[in-house]
Amino acid sequence: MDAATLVIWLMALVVGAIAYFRPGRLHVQGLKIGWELLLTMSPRVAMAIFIAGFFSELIPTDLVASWFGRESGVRGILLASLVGGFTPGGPHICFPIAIILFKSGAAVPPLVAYLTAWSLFAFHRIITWEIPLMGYRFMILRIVSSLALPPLAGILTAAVQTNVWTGM
Amino acid sequence: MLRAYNFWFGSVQNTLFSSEAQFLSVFISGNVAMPETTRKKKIALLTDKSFLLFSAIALIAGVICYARGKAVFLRSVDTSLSMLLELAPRVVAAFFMAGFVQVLVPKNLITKWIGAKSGFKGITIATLAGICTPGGPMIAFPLIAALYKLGADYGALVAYVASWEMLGITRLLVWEIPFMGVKFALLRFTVSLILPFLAGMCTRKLASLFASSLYSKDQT
Repeated sequence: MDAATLVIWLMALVVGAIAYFRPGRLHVQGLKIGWELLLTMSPRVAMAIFIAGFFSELIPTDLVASWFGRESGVRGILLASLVGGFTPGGPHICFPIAIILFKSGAAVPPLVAYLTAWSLFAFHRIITWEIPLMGYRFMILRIVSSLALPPLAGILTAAVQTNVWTGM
Repeated sequence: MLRAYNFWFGSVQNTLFSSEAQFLSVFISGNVAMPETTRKKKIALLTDKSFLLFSAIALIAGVICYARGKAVFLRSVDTSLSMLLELAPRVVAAFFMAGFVQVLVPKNLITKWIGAKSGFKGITIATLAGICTPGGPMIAFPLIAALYKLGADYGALVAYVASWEMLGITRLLVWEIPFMGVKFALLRFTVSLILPFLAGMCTRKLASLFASSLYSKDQT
């Protein structure tokens, strides 16, 4: 069992135990929500993983390496921010894409920029949630204020990687 | 100043909730009425648009792979299956954890935290609250809307949204650690910690800029 699996199971057990010892049978409610999530999401995640697997053969890896690889620098970070902002769909699409990019030779800073841009500007969420509930003006104000964050996250990651955290 | 704010943000608040009663129900329960209807058809795979769309894309990509040769196709299926085997145990635990976290974090508390404070303190609290807010957009956005209605500071609101989107605990534990690993997730999380502050500060600047320019236009 690897570190990620261990961490997730430990966390699940800990929050489950907290829920169990709280009054109001919260753990039953939590299990129900978890089960519903599992039923709705796992078929989608499975399909998304197959998409990622097929694309891993279709995407030219040398292109990924030269666009987002270690040598790509700030240009790679900016490009990744742009691509991330226009990636449609939820996390079950975005994370498999990130894995494939990683395995095809993308460096960590562009990947961080990609994931940050996708989290901030995912337009399915803007259309289904933000505009109906908050309106256009808030949406525009938020997007303008957040525009610089994905490249910043990428550049900060590169700085941390080279100066502090040389393990990755 | 106030008039300009109303010009920019007033109409937004009107579109938020059609009635005060609806707002109150959202505020109390932290949920818009819609989850009830979506929950009923949970297992019906054939009506799940996302699943159908994904299947269609997978099918097309698979056919293209097969057209490139049987070896390519088999290799890609092998990649997918090993990824599936690697991720399945993590994702299962992650979903149950998400369920527990969702019932444990009281939504009213988050609303109280951000609603009451503004300025730099408000942005700090909003960033922390964004990290702690569990669940997907169906949980977070009604909450944000409720805060908006309560008159929370715009800087704090944007910091809250940015923090939830970049650092939210569900995103981190359910998706990022299972897919990208602990090291990557930790590195990204630490690096991104200051970013919601920047967004919040930027929003406050922009909001006051808009407000003053609109105000002077009103005067002349």
